[in-house]
Amino acid sequence: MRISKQWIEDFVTLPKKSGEEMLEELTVQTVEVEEVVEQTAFLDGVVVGEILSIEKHENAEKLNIAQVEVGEKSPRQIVFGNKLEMHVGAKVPVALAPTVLPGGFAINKSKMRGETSEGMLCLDQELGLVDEGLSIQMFDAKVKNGTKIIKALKLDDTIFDIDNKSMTNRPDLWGHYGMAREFAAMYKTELKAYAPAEVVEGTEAAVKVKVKDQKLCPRYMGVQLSGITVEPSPTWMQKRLLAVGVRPINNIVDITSYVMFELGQPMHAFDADTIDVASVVVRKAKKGEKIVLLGGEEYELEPSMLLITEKKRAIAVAGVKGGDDSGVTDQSTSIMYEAANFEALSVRRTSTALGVRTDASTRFEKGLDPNLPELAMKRAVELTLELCPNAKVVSNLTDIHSFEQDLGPLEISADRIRSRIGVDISDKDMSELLTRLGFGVEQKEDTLYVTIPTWRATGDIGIPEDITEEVARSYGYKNIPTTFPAFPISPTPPSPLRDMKKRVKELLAYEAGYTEVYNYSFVSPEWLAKFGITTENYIELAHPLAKDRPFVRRGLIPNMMVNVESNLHRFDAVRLFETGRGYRPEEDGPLAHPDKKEMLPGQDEYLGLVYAEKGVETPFFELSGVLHNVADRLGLAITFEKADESPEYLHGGRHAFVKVGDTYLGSIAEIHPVVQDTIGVPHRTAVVQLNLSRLAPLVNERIAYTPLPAFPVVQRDLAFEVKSITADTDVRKAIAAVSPMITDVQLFDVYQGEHIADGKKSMAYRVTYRDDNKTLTGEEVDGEHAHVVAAVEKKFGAVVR
Amino acid sequence: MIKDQIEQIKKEFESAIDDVRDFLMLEEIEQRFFARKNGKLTDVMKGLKDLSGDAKKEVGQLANIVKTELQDMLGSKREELDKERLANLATEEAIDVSQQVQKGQAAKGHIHPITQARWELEEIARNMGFLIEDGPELESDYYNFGSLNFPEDHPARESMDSFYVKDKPNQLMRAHISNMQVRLMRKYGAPLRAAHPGRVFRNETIDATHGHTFYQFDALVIDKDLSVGDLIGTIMAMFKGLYKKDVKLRIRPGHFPFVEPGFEIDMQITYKAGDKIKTKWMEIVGCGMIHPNVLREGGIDPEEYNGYAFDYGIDRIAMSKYGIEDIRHIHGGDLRFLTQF
Repeated sequence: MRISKQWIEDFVTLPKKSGEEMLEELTVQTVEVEEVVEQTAFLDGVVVGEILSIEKHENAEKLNIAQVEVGEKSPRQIVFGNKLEMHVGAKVPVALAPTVLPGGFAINKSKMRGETSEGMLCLDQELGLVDEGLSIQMFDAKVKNGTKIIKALKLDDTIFDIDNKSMTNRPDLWGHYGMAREFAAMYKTELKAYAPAEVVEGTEAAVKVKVKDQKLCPRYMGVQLSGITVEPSPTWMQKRLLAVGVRPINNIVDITSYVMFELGQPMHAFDADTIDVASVVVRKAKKGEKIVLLGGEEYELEPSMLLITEKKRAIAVAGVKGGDDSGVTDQSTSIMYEAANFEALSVRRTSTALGVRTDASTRFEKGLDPNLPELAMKRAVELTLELCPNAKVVSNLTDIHSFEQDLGPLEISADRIRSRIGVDISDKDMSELLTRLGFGVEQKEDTLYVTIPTWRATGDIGIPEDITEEVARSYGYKNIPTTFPAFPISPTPPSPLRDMKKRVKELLAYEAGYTEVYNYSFVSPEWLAKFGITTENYIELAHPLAKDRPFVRRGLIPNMMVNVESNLHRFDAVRLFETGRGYRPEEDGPLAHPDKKEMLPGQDEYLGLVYAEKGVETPFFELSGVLHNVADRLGLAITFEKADESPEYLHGGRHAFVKVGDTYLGSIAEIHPVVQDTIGVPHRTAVVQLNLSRLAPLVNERIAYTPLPAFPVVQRDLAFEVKSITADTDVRKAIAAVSPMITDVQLFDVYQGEHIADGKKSMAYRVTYRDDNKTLTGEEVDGEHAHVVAAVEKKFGAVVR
Repeated sequence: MIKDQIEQIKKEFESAIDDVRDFLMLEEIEQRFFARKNGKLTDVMKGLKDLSGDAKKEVGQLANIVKTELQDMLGSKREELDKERLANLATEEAIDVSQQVQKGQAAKGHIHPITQARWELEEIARNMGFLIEDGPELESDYYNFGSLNFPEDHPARESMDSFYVKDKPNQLMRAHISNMQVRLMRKYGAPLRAAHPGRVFRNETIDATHGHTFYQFDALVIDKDLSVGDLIGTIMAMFKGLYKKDVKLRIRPGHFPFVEPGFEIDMQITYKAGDKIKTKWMEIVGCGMIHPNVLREGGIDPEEYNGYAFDYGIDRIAMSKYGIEDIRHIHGGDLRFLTQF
């Protein structure tokens, strides 16, 4: 929202400070000021110019050429577009090249499709006068050509641009008077009372209003005035409206805007000749009811929406927008002003459902002070009588209201405020700070009884902590001394999953050479289909804006395969890992509520690994090595168990379950060559997925040290042919079981191919023998080794070479 | 006779050793005179056994003296050559030290920048005595909103800003990391110092500056008689740890339903605009004193304890630290990006 400094100065005398200083001070005390702009800053090069002639540009359908009299020796030629229609004789703002407009937009003499242009005809939006829409200033014929628009429009104000998000909880700040109150408190200066003249009621007409739902409409005020002449509002009012970025329309509409920007209370003006003011009903919409709103668009209403109606027809959507056929026009002579209070939630839902957001709905949905309509109505009538000398209040001032506000008092200990803020502020200062903001303060001993002003009792202030905040921010956050809490010295409680994850990541990156990747938690059904995965066990999102991935992932591999595919276009080898959640509706996750039995879906932490490299036909073995090394570092004895069942996307012959003891942790496998082909990956790809949540409690980082052996070892090699399905783990287990003297068994060669029969392979092992108590003799070892040979022959049908 | 022969051999040896230029020639001489088979001196000494009496003794002595002499000469020549060789080592065995390794170098791995920024914050927090724990990313609306003093009709609860689960209106992908606050309070009670970093979600369309997946780092402190001054002190200390220097902060009012009072903290950053150095404020932390209703939900008596909580955007910190211009890189999985960290 834009705030005009001059408007603020209607109510407080500001100290002599720069706009920048005020920006800083208001930001740290009240609301975030995004920028402060001097209106004169960028508009020095813009003057009033009169259009002398208009021709079509020969080489550009959408361009026109005007000769414009700008108070110089000769007219300037200016090329302009078709955004708004221009006519000869119009006096409009002209940027004279070279100059720079707001936003740093440079205007230079240039050729546009061969035609020289020496400036620009400027829209309000290009001059930064109005934020939205398309509009242009048209000056009166009396204004001299070449007059700077700063002078013509009296643009000498300073504008504070406030971040609307920073005042969603402060409905009282959505008008200049509320903001002036903050300035007054901040600079410890006087705030002028807001005291418009009382409305003198008339008797010629009767405004009668029935409010059917007082919860949604706690207050409705209406009054009728006649003798209205609709015309442009005076320059001073237009100037104020332009300062806050609103395009002036006519005096009556401008008055409703003016009051809203002054008080924060939206208003509406109906053409009283188009409605029956004696039969106004505020009620909810009927099913299928329709209304054409200002601007001409028709909307179908829902039964939850609150309307202003007369007789049988809807004339406004409460708090959102007025109807098109009951609004003020140039011909209106009699009007009815509405100043009302509508329930915030209802306005918000209606505005959202209709997709119509207005300055009024933005304010109502914050929850406004129900006392404001009275002030607003008085002010609007006062301004109308001032602007239209023939105008007259012809009706009673209707005021239907039913509201209660909890104004406290809140009880709070002054000591507690001091301790909560951490400053030694006196009772007197505290109560003065609060009083300046409109709070009533009474004190008995240490206890403050704080009465809440009506404009803050809108859901904003309600508990003692709110009073602490008011004192703290007024005192100034930068004045609060920095302190440290006193804590006992004690070791930080452990975080086992976090620590294990960190270690695994470091090992994978810095020892195994894998790179960490982050993928989204969402997955596309089309991509899953390529893996032969259906979405029946997947959690679906309700209304994802990113429509391509409406499902929540169960594991990491499918999204990681996207990474493999895309990176293999540029790299010969891809080694990646990721940790993240897998969401599984059939598993029990954490409790959804402390007092209920409902469980959230399972969402364990997983580790995913992928590896593919040009020329590597069995990438499985590298990943298997990586996994064993990491497990080793974590003090875990992992085992691979040939998978007896594989999903469609995994290679059935190259897939093992990974376990520690009896705990199943996940799988290591290669992607099925057909799937690999379908997803466009050129090389065999190995993948791992492990459940880290299950792994964490098993980690044992204590290293088991064994004393160095006192006696030498003896090694014997053994090579044999076996059936190719023979598993290395089984062989090693069998050999190690032969003799207590065997301390190690290592596979050092596997061969299949020439000289080896189909379905067979050659395996070579190195067996290490040692005795803890003596040096082994050759004979002793030979004896044991013979048992080893016998064992592999018997157990695996090995033919020793 | 043998004596002459010995003298002759000595002369021959002396002239030969003078000509020696390298180890190969030295080796040849050694072989020529001292080889077990057919070595000149060896052969002569073998002949000694045919002599007798004094002659044997006399010639024997001479032969031994000459042998020692010659071997010494051989030794010093070897030393001389060795010295020469070591003197030229740097030139003779020079390699191109700048040469890039061609093949067989081990793969180099990388840790994601978000992980690195997160670890950094975690380490600082842990050093300050905070426990670190994450929880569910798919959360109930109770922990995400209700327990945090968001009224039933709060815009954040009903708008389309969050990813709700289809047919489960009370479950959503958590919209902020503060979902952990009441979980941690219920698990650990008071007093408590806990940090909870993690992934959060907003239902947005993605472009260079908007994502739907973010990373937040939240921390909370609950104890007796904590003050706003303590909150500011704690945050300043964390920033000092993170940036390794004092940073300029600005504290201003901010509104979040789960804190009262609430603040936003901006950090002053300097940047270059053309050739000028300018400063601006960057919003970096949302924080405040924990709302008494939130403490109550966490089973903590707000009359006895109070607390504060603060929240950093991890991605914001990482992006500004490394100058990452496009938020989509974070989840892009592109090795050209990832291998830079």
